[in-house]
Amino acid sequence: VFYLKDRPVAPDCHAVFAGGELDMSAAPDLGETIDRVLEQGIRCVVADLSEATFIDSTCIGVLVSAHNRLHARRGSFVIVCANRNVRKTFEIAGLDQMVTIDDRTEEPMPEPVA
Amino acid sequence: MPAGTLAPAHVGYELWLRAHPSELGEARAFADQQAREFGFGEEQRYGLTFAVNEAVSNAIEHGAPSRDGTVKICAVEEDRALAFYVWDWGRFSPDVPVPQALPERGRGLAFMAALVDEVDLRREGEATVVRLAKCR
Repeated sequence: VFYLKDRPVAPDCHAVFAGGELDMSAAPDLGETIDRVLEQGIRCVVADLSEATFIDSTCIGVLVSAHNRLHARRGSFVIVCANRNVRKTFEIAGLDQMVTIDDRTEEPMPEPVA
Repeated sequence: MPAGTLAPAHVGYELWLRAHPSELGEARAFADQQAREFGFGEEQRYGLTFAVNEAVSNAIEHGAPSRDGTVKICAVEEDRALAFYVWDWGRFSPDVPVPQALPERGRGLAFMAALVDEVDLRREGEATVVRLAKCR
């Protein structure tokens, strides 16, 4: 079971919230959500995985793709995740070397744009 | 383990699943429960659960289910290790990463190897069997 939502959090910055179990069945929806955000030309994306309890290699691949595309447009990509097990899989993938992974659990997001 | 085969020496607990991504949660719950009963702590359970999820995902995506559209998982206690066997009836794709800084796909087998102590992959007749084992 997983859920996704997204919202703008600042000018040129968008947050994508992904919670629950992010496996192969979640990857297409996660990818489509990020695609839709990036198609707006946004250069700052925060993937908030505070509520994620599991992530597999296909969803990590989606995050890597997001990083690659934002890097190509000189944008920024930040992942918010405090779950120790999920963070360990990021480290195995080498994602922690390429992307800022924030473990903030309180007030992880800027306030939405009014 | 008998030479030349990956088949477990004895049958442990079995789980048959439809070869569909919606079944992955059940595969993870099975792996976690077996690891818990074996006495593994949270971090070890997560590693095994992750590896089993990758193997079953690969079986669903690249393999072929049995004639009745299922993949099979078996959990077996082997000496001081807990082993999971994942069967499908297609050809396992090891998802070898293409050389690039940070590949977007193709790290399933590398993940399995990082999170369990032993990964074996073998053809058994018409089936492909992946064995994942973690020691106490």
